Amino acid sequence: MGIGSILVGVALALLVGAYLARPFRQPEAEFDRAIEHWVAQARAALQAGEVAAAPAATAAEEPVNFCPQCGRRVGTDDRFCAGCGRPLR
Amino acid sequence: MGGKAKLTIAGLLIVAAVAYLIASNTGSTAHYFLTIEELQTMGEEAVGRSLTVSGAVIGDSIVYDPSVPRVTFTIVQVPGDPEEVERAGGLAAVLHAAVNDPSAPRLEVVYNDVKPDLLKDEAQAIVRGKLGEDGRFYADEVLLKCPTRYEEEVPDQAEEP
Amino acid sequence: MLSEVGTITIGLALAVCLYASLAVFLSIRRSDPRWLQSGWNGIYATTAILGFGLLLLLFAFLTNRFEIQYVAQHSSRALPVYLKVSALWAGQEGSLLLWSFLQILFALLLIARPSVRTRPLLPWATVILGCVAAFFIGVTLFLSNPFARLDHAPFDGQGLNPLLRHPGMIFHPPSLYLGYVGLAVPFALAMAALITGRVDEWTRAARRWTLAAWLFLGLGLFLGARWAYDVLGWGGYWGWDPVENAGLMPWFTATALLHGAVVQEERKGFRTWNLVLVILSFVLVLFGTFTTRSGLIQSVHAFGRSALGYYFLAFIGLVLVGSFALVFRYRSFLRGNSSSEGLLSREGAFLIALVLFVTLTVSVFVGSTLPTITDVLSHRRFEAGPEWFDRVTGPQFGLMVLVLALCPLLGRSAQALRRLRSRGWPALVGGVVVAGSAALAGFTGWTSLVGFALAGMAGGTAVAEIAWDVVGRSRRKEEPFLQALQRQVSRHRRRYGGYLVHFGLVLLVIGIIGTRVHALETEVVLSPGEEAQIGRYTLVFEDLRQEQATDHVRTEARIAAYRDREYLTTLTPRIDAYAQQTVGVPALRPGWREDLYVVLAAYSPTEITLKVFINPLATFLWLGGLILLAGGAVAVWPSAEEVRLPVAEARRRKVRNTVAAVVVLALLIAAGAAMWGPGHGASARLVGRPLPGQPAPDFTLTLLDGGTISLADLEGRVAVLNFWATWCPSCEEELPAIQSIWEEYQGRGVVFLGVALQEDEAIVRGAADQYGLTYLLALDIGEQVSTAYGVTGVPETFVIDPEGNVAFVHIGPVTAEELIEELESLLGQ
Repeated sequence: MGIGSILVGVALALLVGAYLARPFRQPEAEFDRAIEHWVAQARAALQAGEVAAAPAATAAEEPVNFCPQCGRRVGTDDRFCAGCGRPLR
Repeated sequence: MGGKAKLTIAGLLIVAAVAYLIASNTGSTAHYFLTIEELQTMGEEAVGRSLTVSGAVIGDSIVYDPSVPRVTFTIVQVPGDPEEVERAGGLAAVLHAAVNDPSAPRLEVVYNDVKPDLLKDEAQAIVRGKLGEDGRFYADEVLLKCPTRYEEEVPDQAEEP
Repeated sequence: MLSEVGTITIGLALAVCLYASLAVFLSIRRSDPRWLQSGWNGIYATTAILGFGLLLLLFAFLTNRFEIQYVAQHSSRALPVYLKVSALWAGQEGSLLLWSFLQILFALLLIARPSVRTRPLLPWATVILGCVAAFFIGVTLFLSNPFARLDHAPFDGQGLNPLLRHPGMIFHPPSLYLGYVGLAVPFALAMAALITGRVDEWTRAARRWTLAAWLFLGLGLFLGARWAYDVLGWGGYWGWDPVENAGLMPWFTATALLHGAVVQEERKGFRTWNLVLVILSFVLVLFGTFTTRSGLIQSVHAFGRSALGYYFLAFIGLVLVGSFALVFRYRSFLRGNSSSEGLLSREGAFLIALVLFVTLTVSVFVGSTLPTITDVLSHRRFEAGPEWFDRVTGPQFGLMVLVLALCPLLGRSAQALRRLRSRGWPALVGGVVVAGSAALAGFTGWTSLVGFALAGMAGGTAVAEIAWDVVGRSRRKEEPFLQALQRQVSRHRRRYGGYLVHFGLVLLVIGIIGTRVHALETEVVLSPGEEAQIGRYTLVFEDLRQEQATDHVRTEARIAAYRDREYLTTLTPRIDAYAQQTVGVPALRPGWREDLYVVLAAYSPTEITLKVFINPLATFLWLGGLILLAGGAVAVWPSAEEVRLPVAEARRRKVRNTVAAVVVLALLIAAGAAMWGPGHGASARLVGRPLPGQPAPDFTLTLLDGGTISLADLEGRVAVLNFWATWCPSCEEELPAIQSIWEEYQGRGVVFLGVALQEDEAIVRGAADQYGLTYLLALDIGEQVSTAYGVTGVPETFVIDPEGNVAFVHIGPVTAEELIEELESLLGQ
């Protein structure tokens, strides 16, 4: 097995591995942003004197990254899932 | 009788009829599938029956008369059991060995038709027809497999350098 | 390096595919969508990796990398590019790689654009499809690697088997594979439905897939039959070969499934039947590929013996046991919903049809495996030949056609007889018309007449159904007939597709009866110029030509064919001799009543042997097949009325539909072209040579020495018309003989006329002087007279009797003895 082939193989494997791991890594960045968003909301509500509603982090009301019905990855601002049409907000 | 029952009976009748068709035709129109050795063991009983025999073609024995047309050739015993073939090294090897073995059982085949394209030395022949009184096999159909079309026993993967 | 990268690619694909199945499974267990997405990414990745692998193999073919064993076995430098591409699937290794790719590609298509109905089934379906794909990739990698390398790379490959060098090779295997692989998807959806408790809906979810797989499988089968007819030259198209049967059986069960699905979607009936049918379809697909690759079943088609057989057998066992275990475990979902309809009802007819499809499949299976079965049962091996199959399946097909004729006329059992009475007349009319026409056309024999009658009945019903449906709509909506037809077809694709399929089937049955019951086969031996009479046809052997092509020697016979003594066409059957093999290529002249099919069986310097087949109604086979497939395409098409979609989605759908339309149309046209396609070896010239006994064509010629001569001038005298040219060596050889006979007979009122196909007067005069020709000579300006006489070469001689009819024809040089004999016989009268 030549060095060239091994290198090609390893390169391919790494690329593919990264792609397979993507769904596990994405939410961290998005999740952080989502947390910041909630925190900002809560602060604003407190300052306005209202009782801040507990950030309902259920998938049905917050913009999440995966459609709970079909599992398709969706944008954080999407109102409907592009794969199955389910409302996301 | 309820409609449903009639339907069920009709279905069962069809199945029974088909089973009968299969069984009766297996007895009558099916060909007895033999190797040359088995054919010779059968002896007299084999004469006149619908048979299918397989063997390796001996190239030198092929004689073709285009004006009739008729081609005659001799086939040599080849084991019928695929396991045995595999143990002996694969079909191509078995055919080659058979053709070069002077003591292996042989059968002369007469085929009243044009010479098939694939009829050549070491081809696997499957001949369908009847055994004549004279000990020659009168074929109605000759199926051939060209030796170069064979996939040999799965080759060992190329060794790494 | 290419070999190694290729192997690594397949290995990587296997790993990723296994991961994908596992990941999706985990996502179900943990209800974690991230695992699901990762698994699906895995499917996308596997598809890309295998696609890359295929391209790599293609690259190896196109750049002649003969160090790769597979390339060396199936390609050569001289092979044209399109055949190098199709060599990709010519052998076991490449075809398994292609299969693996298609298998994972279909999984990708399933998850990429899920419909509302398939969505809930996706996770489990993906797991199953992933496992199936992994099996095939694993088998390819460990047992059948197309990238295996040869230690010693040859300069040139062995080339593609000449029998496979046909455009049909481009479409036949891939189409079959699309069908085979496609049937895995309904199977996966069905199992997923079973596990998730959605047993009622899966047929609707799987419908497009089942139809598409059925369509491609059917297309592959028809192309195979046409290819056999066109190329293999044994005059037939279906030999009941175990490998042919391997494609037929899943097609039967898939057809049954399509019908059962109708009832399941209407009233949730036949659910168990449909599950069994989809399992059988998939298992038969696996069994089919096992047959071709294990060597366990003797066939001229098979790839040959290899160790793959056992692994396939094990996988088949696993699938069978696993799926039936699932059915058993979830059988509670399948309770209830049985119907109370009786025999003479639509549903009863459907049930009978399903039973027949299954018995047909079982019959074909038993026939294909008879040696094994009989060996096990009785220690004596029996083999089923075409006769066995015809006898066993014939009556079943007949009954099926009867069901087809009656089913649309039936409704609920209650009023069955009344309905039959009022709506049954088109069937009767159809039956009488078709059987009557057949009898008039000469197809007698009670089996075929019964068959024709049944086919006619089914045809009558099919036409009537369409007519009633469209007329009904036309009246209700006050639309013109054509508009109503168009509207109905676009609203009810499946139904009208079905009508079209049934109609195509009727034509197919007619073709089958004609070709199998009334075919004629015979051999003739001919010397140049000799004619043979076969049925209504007269065949005249004109000449034999040989030419050297890059890798083969082509020997072609030219045969003038006449029907009822009238010139029809010129056939050119030939033999192509390659280094390792000779291939006979038949000449085919299709017709409505029958096909004239001629094979050059043997040739020698003095004579040729021809095999002649008259195949009645063969054209109906191919026409019926095309209509059947077109019907399938119509059925697969999305209906006009769909769920309201957001604008962007609707536009995307429209684009996708248009692209799909173009693709399917192109495929059908290609299939049609392949079916009626290139090089039948028949080309008709404008005018045919007259046969002995026919009137001599009129002519007027200007003689070399002045004056003119025409046919009328020859009245009452015996005439010899010799077409020759100065550049033709055989002509030069016969000139002295002709001259000497002229001298001998000129006193007896005979006319000799030499017609030179040479417009240079001086040269002709020179030759005349050289040979001392004293008989009449003329120049055939513009080849008018030779065309009128259907002359195709020189020399040709026509001896005309005193009444103006051609008495004798010589193609090629004429000898003195022959001419003397003929003149004596005519003068003696």
